[in-house]
Amino acid sequence: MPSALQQTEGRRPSGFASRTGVSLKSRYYQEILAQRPAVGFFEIHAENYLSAGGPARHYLDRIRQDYDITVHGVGLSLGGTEPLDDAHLERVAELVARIEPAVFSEHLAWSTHQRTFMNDLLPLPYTEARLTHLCEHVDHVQSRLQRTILIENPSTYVEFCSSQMSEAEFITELVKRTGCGLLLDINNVEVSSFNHGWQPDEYLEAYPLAAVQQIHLAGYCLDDSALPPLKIDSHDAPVADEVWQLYEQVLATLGDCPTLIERDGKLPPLAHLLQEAHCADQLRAKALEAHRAS
Amino acid sequence: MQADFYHALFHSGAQRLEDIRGPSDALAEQRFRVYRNNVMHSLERALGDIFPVCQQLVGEAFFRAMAHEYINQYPPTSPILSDYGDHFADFVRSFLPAQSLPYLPDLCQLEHHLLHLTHQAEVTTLPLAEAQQRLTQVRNPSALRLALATNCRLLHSPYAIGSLYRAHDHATPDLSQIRVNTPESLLLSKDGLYGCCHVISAAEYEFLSALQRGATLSHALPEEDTFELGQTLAKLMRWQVLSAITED
Repeated sequence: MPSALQQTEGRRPSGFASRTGVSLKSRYYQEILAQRPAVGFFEIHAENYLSAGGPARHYLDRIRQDYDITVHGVGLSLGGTEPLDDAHLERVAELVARIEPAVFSEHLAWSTHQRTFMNDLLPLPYTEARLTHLCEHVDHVQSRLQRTILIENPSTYVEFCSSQMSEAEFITELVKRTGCGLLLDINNVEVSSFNHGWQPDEYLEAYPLAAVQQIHLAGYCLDDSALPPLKIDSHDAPVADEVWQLYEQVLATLGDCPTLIERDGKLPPLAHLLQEAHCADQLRAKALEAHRAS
Repeated sequence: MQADFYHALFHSGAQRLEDIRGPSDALAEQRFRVYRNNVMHSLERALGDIFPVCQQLVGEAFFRAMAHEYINQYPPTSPILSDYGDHFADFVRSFLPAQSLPYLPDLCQLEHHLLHLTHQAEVTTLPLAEAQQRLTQVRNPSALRLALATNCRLLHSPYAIGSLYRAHDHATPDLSQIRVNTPESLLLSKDGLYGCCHVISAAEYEFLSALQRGATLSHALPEEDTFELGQTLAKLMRWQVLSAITED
Protein backbone atom coordinates (compact mmCIF):
# COMPACT_ATOMS: atom_id res chain seq x y z
CA MET A 1 0.00 0.00 0.00
CA PRO A 2 1.45 3.44 -0.86
CA SER A 3 2.28 5.71 2.04
CA ALA A 4 -0.14 8.49 2.88
CA LEU A 5 2.24 11.18 1.71
CA GLN A 6 3.04 9.80 -1.71
CA GLN A 7 -0.54 9.98 -2.82
CA THR A 8 -0.74 13.71 -3.39
CA GLU A 9 1.83 13.50 -6.16
CA GLY A 10 0.39 14.18 -9.57
CA ARG A 11 -2.32 16.52 -8.37
CA ARG A 12 -0.15 19.53 -7.50
CA PRO A 13 2.94 20.43 -5.51
CA SER A 14 2.20 19.72 -1.87
CA GLY A 15 1.97 22.55 0.67
CA PHE A 16 0.99 19.95 3.23
CA ALA A 17 4.51 18.81 3.98
CA SER A 18 6.16 22.20 4.07
CA ARG A 19 3.76 24.61 5.73
CA THR A 20 1.36 24.41 8.66
CA GLY A 21 -2.37 24.22 7.94
CA VAL A 22 -5.55 25.35 9.68
CA SER A 23 -9.10 24.02 10.08
CA LEU A 24 -11.48 24.93 7.27
CA LYS A 25 -14.67 26.54 8.58
CA SER A 26 -17.56 27.92 6.54
CA ARG A 27 -17.13 31.43 7.90
CA TYR A 28 -13.62 31.55 6.38
CA TYR A 29 -14.62 30.48 2.81
CA GLN A 30 -14.97 33.97 1.32
CA GLU A 31 -11.85 35.31 2.95
CA ILE A 32 -9.77 32.35 1.78
CA LEU A 33 -10.92 32.78 -1.80
CA ALA A 34 -10.44 36.56 -1.73
CA GLN A 35 -7.11 36.69 0.12
CA ARG A 36 -5.49 33.33 -0.78
CA PRO A 37 -3.62 33.25 2.55
CA ALA A 38 -0.20 31.62 2.67
CA VAL A 39 -1.06 28.43 4.50
CA GLY A 40 0.05 24.87 3.88
CA PHE A 41 -3.36 23.20 3.74
CA PHE A 42 -6.88 23.17 5.11
CA GLU A 43 -8.38 20.34 7.10
CA ILE A 44 -12.05 19.35 6.87
CA HIS A 45 -14.21 17.03 8.91
CA ALA A 46 -15.34 14.40 6.42
CA GLU A 47 -18.88 14.26 7.79
CA ASN A 48 -19.48 17.96 7.05
CA TYR A 49 -18.61 17.55 3.38
CA LEU A 50 -20.61 14.57 2.18
CA SER A 51 -23.53 16.47 0.62
CA ALA A 52 -24.27 16.27 -3.09
CA GLY A 53 -24.53 20.06 -3.27
CA GLY A 54 -24.68 23.25 -1.24
CA PRO A 55 -22.00 25.65 -0.04
CA ALA A 56 -19.75 23.08 1.71
CA ARG A 57 -19.17 21.10 -1.47
CA HIS A 58 -18.95 24.16 -3.68
CA TYR A 59 -16.38 26.02 -1.58
CA LEU A 60 -14.35 22.92 -0.82
CA ASP A 61 -13.97 22.23 -4.54
CA ARG A 62 -12.88 25.82 -5.19
CA ILE A 63 -10.44 25.90 -2.30
CA ARG A 64 -9.05 22.51 -3.34
CA GLN A 65 -7.94 24.07 -6.63
CA ASP A 66 -5.33 26.11 -4.77
CA TYR A 67 -4.62 24.22 -1.57
CA ASP A 68 -3.93 20.78 -0.24
CA ILE A 69 -6.73 19.37 1.86
CA THR A 70 -6.58 16.85 4.68
CA VAL A 71 -9.71 14.88 5.51
CA HIS A 72 -10.36 14.10 9.17
CA GLY A 73 -13.14 11.58 9.81
CA VAL A 74 -15.18 11.89 12.97
CA GLY A 75 -17.90 9.30 12.34
CA LEU A 76 -16.48 5.92 11.38
CA SER A 77 -16.44 4.69 15.00
CA LEU A 78 -13.30 2.64 14.43
CA GLY A 79 -12.91 1.90 18.13
CA GLY A 80 -16.38 0.34 18.40
CA THR A 81 -17.14 -3.34 18.77
CA GLU A 82 -19.75 -3.47 15.99
CA PRO A 83 -19.08 -3.85 12.27
CA LEU A 84 -18.40 -0.57 10.47
CA ASP A 85 -21.21 1.24 8.67
CA ASP A 86 -20.21 0.38 5.10
CA ALA A 87 -22.70 2.79 3.54
CA HIS A 88 -21.08 5.61 5.46
CA LEU A 89 -17.60 4.40 4.59
CA GLU A 90 -18.65 4.40 0.95
CA ARG A 91 -19.61 8.08 1.12
CA VAL A 92 -16.33 8.91 2.83
CA ALA A 93 -14.48 6.94 0.15
CA GLU A 94 -16.21 8.98 -2.57
CA LEU A 95 -15.12 12.21 -0.87
CA VAL A 96 -11.55 10.94 -0.57
CA ALA A 97 -11.51 9.93 -4.24
CA ARG A 98 -12.85 13.34 -5.31
CA ILE A 99 -10.66 15.51 -3.07
CA GLU A 100 -7.48 13.40 -3.11
CA PRO A 101 -6.48 14.61 0.35
CA ALA A 102 -2.86 14.72 1.47
CA VAL A 103 -3.90 12.41 4.32
CA PHE A 104 -7.05 10.82 5.68
CA SER A 105 -7.22 10.47 9.45
CA GLU A 106 -9.65 9.06 12.01
CA HIS A 107 -9.81 8.56 15.76
CA LEU A 108 -8.96 6.00 18.37
CA ALA A 109 -12.53 6.22 19.67
CA TRP A 110 -16.06 5.00 19.09
CA SER A 111 -19.18 7.05 18.45
CA THR A 112 -21.90 4.66 17.25
CA HIS A 113 -23.71 1.93 19.13
CA GLN A 114 -26.53 -0.07 17.55
CA ARG A 115 -26.96 2.61 14.89
CA THR A 116 -27.17 5.45 17.41
CA PHE A 117 -24.58 8.09 16.60
CA MET A 118 -23.51 10.02 19.68
CA ASN A 119 -21.51 12.81 18.04
CA ASP A 120 -18.70 12.42 20.53
CA LEU A 121 -15.39 10.58 20.54
CA LEU A 122 -15.89 8.00 23.27
CA PRO A 123 -13.10 6.16 25.08
CA LEU A 124 -12.38 2.44 25.01
CA PRO A 125 -10.57 0.09 27.36
CA TYR A 126 -7.14 -0.88 26.12
CA THR A 127 -7.69 -4.63 25.96
CA GLU A 128 -6.57 -7.30 23.52
CA ALA A 129 -10.19 -7.79 22.40
CA ARG A 130 -10.70 -4.10 21.60
CA LEU A 131 -7.34 -3.96 19.84
CA THR A 132 -8.42 -6.83 17.61
CA HIS A 133 -11.66 -5.01 16.71
CA LEU A 134 -9.82 -1.76 16.06
CA CYS A 135 -7.21 -3.44 13.85
CA GLU A 136 -9.94 -5.13 11.81
CA HIS A 137 -11.67 -1.79 11.33
CA VAL A 138 -8.48 0.03 10.37
CA ASP A 139 -7.59 -2.76 7.90
CA HIS A 140 -11.08 -2.54 6.43
CA VAL A 141 -10.89 1.23 5.90
CA GLN A 142 -7.34 1.09 4.52
CA SER A 143 -8.32 -1.57 2.05
CA ARG A 144 -11.47 0.33 0.94
CA LEU A 145 -9.63 3.66 0.62
CA GLN A 146 -6.54 2.00 -0.83
CA ARG A 147 -4.30 4.16 1.30
CA THR A 148 -2.61 4.28 4.66
CA ILE A 149 -4.77 6.13 7.14
CA LEU A 150 -3.65 8.01 10.24
CA ILE A 151 -5.11 7.31 13.66
CA GLU A 152 -5.33 10.05 16.27
CA ASN A 153 -4.69 9.50 19.99
CA PRO A 154 -7.75 10.51 22.05
CA SER A 155 -8.29 12.98 24.85
CA THR A 156 -10.05 11.15 27.68
CA TYR A 157 -11.68 11.90 31.00
CA VAL A 158 -11.94 8.36 32.38
CA GLU A 159 -9.81 5.23 32.35
CA PHE A 160 -11.01 1.63 32.50
CA CYS A 161 -10.27 -0.99 35.15
CA SER A 162 -10.26 -3.61 32.40
CA SER A 163 -7.43 -1.98 30.40
CA GLN A 164 -4.55 -4.43 29.95
CA MET A 165 -2.03 -2.00 28.50
CA SER A 166 -1.23 1.70 28.41
CA GLU A 167 -2.57 3.91 25.64
CA ALA A 168 0.91 4.22 24.11
CA GLU A 169 1.35 0.42 24.13
CA PHE A 170 -2.08 -0.02 22.57
CA ILE A 171 -1.21 2.45 19.79
CA THR A 172 2.18 0.82 19.25
CA GLU A 173 0.46 -2.54 18.71
CA LEU A 174 -2.09 -0.95 16.38
CA VAL A 175 0.67 0.44 14.17
CA LYS A 176 2.54 -2.86 14.20
CA ARG A 177 -0.49 -4.90 13.19
CA THR A 178 -2.12 -2.61 10.60
CA GLY A 179 0.73 -0.51 9.22
CA CYS A 180 -1.40 2.58 9.79
CA GLY A 181 0.23 5.95 10.35
CA LEU A 182 -0.40 8.22 13.31
CA LEU A 183 -1.81 11.65 13.84
CA LEU A 184 -0.30 12.87 17.09
CA ASP A 185 -2.64 15.32 18.78
CA ILE A 186 -0.38 17.03 21.27
CA ASN A 187 -3.25 18.82 22.96
CA ASN A 188 -4.82 15.41 23.61
CA VAL A 189 -1.58 14.20 25.18
CA GLU A 190 -1.64 17.23 27.48
CA VAL A 191 -5.37 16.88 28.30
CA SER A 192 -5.28 13.12 29.03
CA SER A 193 -2.02 13.38 30.97
CA PHE A 194 -3.40 16.13 33.16
CA ASN A 195 -6.68 14.32 33.75
CA HIS A 196 -5.12 10.97 34.60
CA GLY A 197 -1.93 12.07 36.30
CA TRP A 198 0.32 10.75 33.54
CA GLN A 199 3.62 12.39 32.66
CA PRO A 200 3.45 13.71 29.07
CA ASP A 201 7.18 13.05 28.66
CA GLU A 202 6.76 9.41 29.61
CA TYR A 203 3.74 9.11 27.34
CA LEU A 204 5.72 10.45 24.39
CA GLU A 205 8.67 8.22 25.21
CA ALA A 206 6.46 5.13 24.99
CA TYR A 207 4.51 6.40 21.97
CA PRO A 208 5.68 5.24 18.48
CA LEU A 209 6.77 8.66 17.20
CA ALA A 210 8.34 7.16 14.08
CA ALA A 211 4.84 6.45 12.70
CA VAL A 212 3.63 10.06 13.10
CA GLN A 213 2.76 11.72 9.79
CA GLN A 214 0.78 14.66 11.09
CA ILE A 215 0.46 16.69 14.28
CA HIS A 216 -2.60 18.48 15.66
CA LEU A 217 -2.26 21.49 17.91
CA ALA A 218 -5.39 22.82 19.61
CA GLY A 219 -6.64 24.61 22.70
CA TYR A 220 -8.38 23.13 25.72
CA CYS A 221 -10.50 24.64 28.45
CA LEU A 222 -10.10 24.06 32.16
CA ASP A 223 -13.14 22.93 34.12
CA ASP A 224 -12.23 24.03 37.62
CA SER A 225 -15.70 23.32 38.97
CA ALA A 226 -14.46 19.72 39.01
CA LEU A 227 -12.15 18.84 41.90
CA PRO A 228 -9.44 18.11 40.99
CA PRO A 229 -9.93 20.27 37.87
CA LEU A 230 -10.29 18.68 34.44
CA LYS A 231 -8.90 19.74 31.13
CA ILE A 232 -11.55 19.50 28.41
CA ASP A 233 -10.55 19.07 24.78
CA SER A 234 -12.70 21.93 23.54
CA HIS A 235 -10.87 23.15 20.41
CA ASP A 236 -12.21 26.60 21.21
CA ALA A 237 -9.12 28.41 22.42
CA PRO A 238 -5.61 29.25 21.20
CA VAL A 239 -2.94 26.57 21.59
CA ALA A 240 -1.77 26.57 25.21
CA ASP A 241 1.83 27.27 26.27
CA GLU A 242 2.44 23.77 27.61
CA VAL A 243 1.22 22.32 24.30
CA TRP A 244 3.68 24.51 22.40
CA GLN A 245 6.43 23.24 24.69
CA LEU A 246 5.50 19.61 24.09
CA TYR A 247 5.39 20.37 20.37
CA GLU A 248 8.95 21.65 20.46
CA GLN A 249 9.97 18.49 22.29
CA VAL A 250 8.35 16.28 19.63
CA LEU A 251 9.91 18.33 16.81
CA ALA A 252 13.32 17.90 18.42
CA THR A 253 12.89 14.15 17.94
CA LEU A 254 11.19 14.18 14.55
CA GLY A 255 13.03 17.09 12.95
CA ASP A 256 9.85 18.17 11.20
CA CYS A 257 6.25 17.08 10.78
CA PRO A 258 3.19 18.42 8.91
CA THR A 259 1.10 20.29 11.47
CA LEU A 260 -2.46 21.56 11.82
CA ILE A 261 -3.82 24.35 14.01
CA GLU A 262 -7.17 22.81 14.88
CA ARG A 263 -10.05 25.05 15.86
CA ASP A 264 -13.76 24.14 16.01
CA GLY A 265 -15.40 26.55 18.45
CA LYS A 266 -15.38 30.27 19.38
CA LEU A 267 -13.90 30.87 15.95
CA PRO A 268 -11.54 33.84 15.86
CA PRO A 269 -10.73 35.89 12.74
CA LEU A 270 -8.83 33.68 10.29
CA ALA A 271 -5.76 35.88 10.82
CA HIS A 272 -5.47 34.58 14.40
CA LEU A 273 -5.26 30.97 13.21
CA LEU A 274 -2.76 31.97 10.52
CA GLN A 275 -0.67 33.62 13.22
CA GLU A 276 -0.62 30.38 15.22
CA ALA A 277 0.26 28.48 12.04
CA HIS A 278 3.12 30.92 11.53
CA CYS A 279 4.37 30.23 15.08
CA ALA A 280 4.33 26.52 14.32
CA ASP A 281 6.26 27.12 11.09
CA GLN A 282 8.92 29.05 12.98
CA LEU A 283 9.34 26.23 15.50
CA ARG A 284 9.50 23.72 12.66
CA ALA A 285 12.21 25.70 10.86
CA LYS A 286 14.21 25.96 14.06
CA ALA A 287 13.87 22.25 14.81
CA LEU A 288 14.76 21.28 11.27
CA GLU A 289 17.88 23.39 11.37
CA ALA A 290 18.95 21.87 14.69
CA HIS A 291 18.18 18.41 13.37
CA ARG A 292 20.31 18.93 10.25
CA ALA A 293 23.14 20.36 12.30
CA SER A 294 23.24 17.37 14.65
CA MET B 1 -18.69 -2.66 28.10
CA GLN B 2 -19.74 -0.59 25.08
CA ALA B 3 -23.42 -1.36 25.64
CA ASP B 4 -23.18 -0.39 29.33
CA PHE B 5 -21.38 2.83 28.48
CA TYR B 6 -24.02 3.67 25.90
CA HIS B 7 -26.86 2.89 28.30
CA ALA B 8 -25.33 5.06 31.01
CA LEU B 9 -24.91 7.97 28.58
CA PHE B 10 -28.62 8.17 27.90
CA HIS B 11 -29.92 7.22 31.37
CA SER B 12 -28.75 9.60 34.05
CA GLY B 13 -30.13 7.30 36.77
CA ALA B 14 -28.23 4.29 35.43
CA GLN B 15 -25.97 2.41 37.78
CA ARG B 16 -22.36 3.58 37.85
CA LEU B 17 -20.19 1.80 35.35
CA GLU B 18 -18.07 -0.70 37.24
CA ASP B 19 -15.31 -0.50 34.68
CA ILE B 20 -14.76 3.24 34.88
CA ARG B 21 -11.74 4.32 36.84
CA GLY B 22 -11.15 7.75 38.38
CA PRO B 23 -9.23 9.08 41.35
CA SER B 24 -12.25 7.94 43.42
CA ASP B 25 -15.70 6.44 42.72
CA ALA B 26 -17.35 9.83 43.03
CA LEU B 27 -14.81 11.40 40.68
CA ALA B 28 -15.16 8.57 38.20
CA GLU B 29 -18.89 9.31 38.09
CA GLN B 30 -18.25 13.04 37.78
CA ARG B 31 -15.88 12.43 34.89
CA PHE B 32 -18.28 10.10 33.16
CA ARG B 33 -20.79 12.96 33.24
CA VAL B 34 -18.43 14.96 31.00
CA TYR B 35 -19.27 12.47 28.23
CA ARG B 36 -22.98 12.57 29.03
CA ASN B 37 -22.93 16.37 28.85
CA ASN B 38 -20.79 16.46 25.71
CA VAL B 39 -23.11 14.08 23.87
CA MET B 40 -26.26 15.90 24.86
CA HIS B 41 -24.92 19.42 24.34
CA SER B 42 -23.38 18.65 20.99
CA LEU B 43 -26.63 17.13 19.74
CA GLU B 44 -28.69 20.02 21.13
CA ARG B 45 -26.36 22.41 19.32
CA ALA B 46 -26.69 20.36 16.14
CA LEU B 47 -30.49 20.62 16.30
CA GLY B 48 -30.16 24.35 16.94
CA ASP B 49 -28.13 24.61 13.73
CA ILE B 50 -30.79 22.68 11.81
CA PHE B 51 -33.73 24.66 13.25
CA PRO B 52 -32.23 28.12 13.89
CA VAL B 53 -35.45 30.11 13.42
CA CYS B 54 -37.38 27.79 15.72
CA GLN B 55 -34.64 28.27 18.30
CA GLN B 56 -34.77 32.04 17.95
CA LEU B 57 -38.55 32.07 18.30
CA VAL B 58 -38.75 29.98 21.46
CA GLY B 59 -35.45 31.04 23.02
CA GLU B 60 -32.40 28.91 23.64
CA ALA B 61 -33.45 27.50 27.02
CA PHE B 62 -36.84 26.29 25.78
CA PHE B 63 -35.33 24.95 22.58
CA ARG B 64 -32.67 22.99 24.45
CA ALA B 65 -35.24 21.46 26.76
CA MET B 66 -37.32 20.41 23.75
CA ALA B 67 -34.22 19.14 21.91
CA HIS B 68 -33.20 17.15 24.98
CA GLU B 69 -36.48 15.25 24.93
CA TYR B 70 -36.24 14.73 21.20
CA ILE B 71 -32.69 13.37 21.38
CA ASN B 72 -33.76 10.85 24.01
CA GLN B 73 -36.65 9.69 21.83
CA TYR B 74 -34.97 9.93 18.44
CA PRO B 75 -31.18 9.86 18.75
CA PRO B 76 -29.30 10.33 15.45
CA THR B 77 -28.81 7.21 13.35
CA SER B 78 -26.19 8.66 11.01
CA PRO B 79 -22.87 10.42 11.55
CA ILE B 80 -24.03 13.04 9.05
CA LEU B 81 -25.79 15.44 11.36
CA SER B 82 -27.23 17.59 8.59
CA ASP B 83 -29.53 14.59 7.98
CA TYR B 84 -30.73 14.62 11.59
CA GLY B 85 -34.14 15.87 12.70
CA ASP B 86 -36.51 13.99 10.36
CA HIS B 87 -39.07 13.54 13.13
CA PHE B 88 -38.57 16.87 14.84
CA ALA B 89 -41.60 18.66 13.40
CA ASP B 90 -43.92 15.80 14.39
CA PHE B 91 -42.27 15.63 17.79
CA VAL B 92 -42.84 19.36 18.33
CA ARG B 93 -46.50 18.89 17.34
CA SER B 94 -46.93 16.49 20.24
CA PHE B 95 -44.65 18.30 22.70
CA LEU B 96 -47.08 19.65 25.30
CA PRO B 97 -45.10 22.73 26.42
CA ALA B 98 -45.07 23.94 22.77
CA GLN B 99 -48.85 23.68 22.27
CA SER B 100 -49.29 27.43 22.70
CA LEU B 101 -47.28 27.94 19.50
CA PRO B 102 -49.35 25.94 17.01
CA TYR B 103 -47.35 27.24 14.01
CA LEU B 104 -44.06 25.84 15.38
CA PRO B 105 -44.28 22.31 13.86
CA ASP B 106 -44.92 23.69 10.36
CA LEU B 107 -42.07 26.14 10.76
CA CYS B 108 -39.75 23.27 11.79
CA GLN B 109 -40.90 21.31 8.76
CA LEU B 110 -40.06 24.29 6.56
CA GLU B 111 -36.59 24.66 8.06
CA HIS B 112 -35.93 20.96 7.62
CA HIS B 113 -36.99 21.05 3.96
CA LEU B 114 -34.80 24.08 3.31
CA LEU B 115 -31.72 22.51 4.87
CA HIS B 116 -32.35 19.38 2.85
CA LEU B 117 -32.59 21.48 -0.32
CA THR B 118 -29.33 23.24 0.50
CA HIS B 119 -27.53 19.91 0.77
CA GLN B 120 -29.06 18.49 -2.42
CA ALA B 121 -27.18 18.75 -5.70
CA GLU B 122 -27.88 21.95 -7.62
CA VAL B 123 -30.00 21.47 -10.75
CA THR B 124 -29.75 23.41 -13.97
CA THR B 125 -32.50 25.98 -14.51
CA LEU B 126 -33.15 28.54 -17.21
CA PRO B 127 -31.35 31.84 -16.68
CA LEU B 128 -33.71 34.82 -16.73
CA ALA B 129 -32.68 36.08 -20.18
CA GLU B 130 -32.99 32.65 -21.75
CA ALA B 131 -36.44 32.08 -20.25
CA GLN B 132 -37.60 35.48 -21.51
CA GLN B 133 -36.30 34.72 -24.98
CA ARG B 134 -38.05 31.34 -25.08
CA LEU B 135 -41.35 32.95 -24.15
CA THR B 136 -41.07 35.53 -26.93
CA GLN B 137 -40.63 32.70 -29.44
CA VAL B 138 -43.82 30.90 -28.43
CA ARG B 139 -46.22 30.30 -31.30
CA ASN B 140 -49.09 28.58 -29.51
CA PRO B 141 -49.36 29.73 -25.87
CA SER B 142 -52.11 27.23 -25.03
CA ALA B 143 -49.77 24.31 -25.83
CA LEU B 144 -46.96 25.71 -23.73
CA ARG B 145 -45.44 23.55 -21.01
CA LEU B 146 -43.42 25.05 -18.19
CA ALA B 147 -41.28 22.57 -16.29
CA LEU B 148 -40.52 23.46 -12.70
CA ALA B 149 -37.05 22.42 -11.55
CA THR B 150 -37.17 18.94 -10.04
CA ASN B 151 -36.01 20.18 -6.64
CA CYS B 152 -38.92 22.66 -6.29
CA ARG B 153 -41.38 21.86 -3.54
CA LEU B 154 -44.77 23.33 -2.71
CA LEU B 155 -45.97 23.71 0.86
CA HIS B 156 -49.14 24.98 2.39
CA SER B 157 -49.65 25.87 6.03
CA PRO B 158 -52.54 27.37 8.01
CA TYR B 159 -49.90 29.69 9.48
CA ALA B 160 -47.70 32.42 8.02
CA ILE B 161 -44.55 30.32 8.37
CA GLY B 162 -42.88 31.67 5.23
CA SER B 163 -43.18 35.27 6.43
CA LEU B 164 -41.98 34.24 9.89
CA TYR B 165 -39.01 32.43 8.42
CA ARG B 166 -38.07 35.23 6.07
CA ALA B 167 -38.30 37.85 8.80
CA HIS B 168 -35.35 36.06 10.40
CA ASP B 169 -33.13 36.91 7.43
CA HIS B 170 -32.54 40.10 9.39
CA ALA B 171 -30.39 40.21 12.47
CA THR B 172 -33.25 41.79 14.45
CA PRO B 173 -36.44 40.30 12.98
CA ASP B 174 -39.50 42.52 13.00
CA LEU B 175 -42.45 40.22 13.66
CA SER B 176 -44.92 43.00 14.45
CA GLN B 177 -46.41 43.04 10.94
CA ILE B 178 -46.81 39.26 10.68
CA ARG B 179 -50.31 37.87 11.25
CA VAL B 180 -49.22 34.39 12.12
CA ASN B 181 -52.69 32.84 11.89
CA THR B 182 -52.94 33.69 8.18
CA PRO B 183 -52.59 30.67 5.87
CA GLU B 184 -49.63 30.75 3.52
CA SER B 185 -48.57 28.87 0.42
CA LEU B 186 -44.88 28.51 -0.30
CA LEU B 187 -42.61 27.57 -3.17
CA LEU B 188 -39.31 26.12 -1.94
CA SER B 189 -36.44 26.18 -4.39
CA LYS B 190 -32.74 26.67 -4.48
CA ASP B 191 -31.22 30.12 -4.85
CA GLY B 192 -27.67 29.38 -5.92
CA LEU B 193 -26.28 27.07 -3.25
CA TYR B 194 -28.98 27.58 -0.63
CA GLY B 195 -32.56 26.45 -0.13
CA CYS B 196 -34.97 29.40 -0.12
CA CYS B 197 -38.70 29.95 0.23
CA HIS B 198 -41.05 32.23 -1.69
CA VAL B 199 -44.47 33.14 -0.36
CA ILE B 200 -47.01 32.64 -3.15
CA SER B 201 -50.78 33.06 -3.44
CA ALA B 202 -53.24 30.18 -3.16
CA ALA B 203 -53.95 30.52 -6.91
CA GLU B 204 -50.24 30.36 -7.71
CA TYR B 205 -49.98 27.26 -5.51
CA GLU B 206 -52.75 25.66 -7.57
CA PHE B 207 -51.09 26.71 -10.83
CA LEU B 208 -47.65 25.39 -9.84
CA SER B 209 -49.14 22.13 -8.55
CA ALA B 210 -50.70 21.60 -11.97
CA LEU B 211 -47.39 22.38 -13.71
CA GLN B 212 -45.68 19.81 -11.47
CA ARG B 213 -48.25 17.26 -12.59
CA GLY B 214 -47.24 18.01 -16.20
CA ALA B 215 -50.26 20.08 -17.28
CA THR B 216 -49.96 22.44 -20.25
CA LEU B 217 -50.18 26.14 -19.48
CA SER B 218 -53.82 26.37 -20.54
CA HIS B 219 -54.81 23.43 -18.34
CA ALA B 220 -52.82 24.68 -15.40
CA LEU B 221 -54.44 28.11 -15.25
CA PRO B 222 -56.49 28.49 -12.07
CA GLU B 223 -59.97 29.96 -12.24
CA GLU B 224 -59.42 32.59 -9.56
CA ASP B 225 -59.83 36.16 -10.81
CA THR B 226 -56.88 37.20 -8.74
CA PHE B 227 -54.43 35.12 -10.76
CA GLU B 228 -52.21 37.23 -13.01
CA LEU B 229 -50.32 34.94 -15.38
CA GLY B 230 -47.86 37.64 -16.47
CA GLN B 231 -46.85 38.50 -12.95
CA THR B 232 -46.51 34.88 -11.92
CA LEU B 233 -44.37 34.04 -14.96
CA ALA B 234 -42.17 37.03 -14.26
CA LYS B 235 -41.61 35.78 -10.71
CA LEU B 236 -40.85 32.22 -11.81
CA MET B 237 -38.28 33.51 -14.29
CA ARG B 238 -36.72 35.85 -11.76
CA TRP B 239 -36.51 33.10 -9.14
CA GLN B 240 -34.97 30.84 -11.81
CA VAL B 241 -37.10 27.85 -10.96
CA LEU B 242 -38.00 26.83 -14.54
CA SER B 243 -35.96 24.04 -16.03
CA ALA B 244 -37.59 24.02 -19.47
CA ILE B 245 -40.13 25.87 -21.60
CA THR B 246 -41.51 23.74 -24.42
CA GLU B 247 -44.48 23.63 -26.81
CA ASP B 248 -46.45 20.49 -27.56
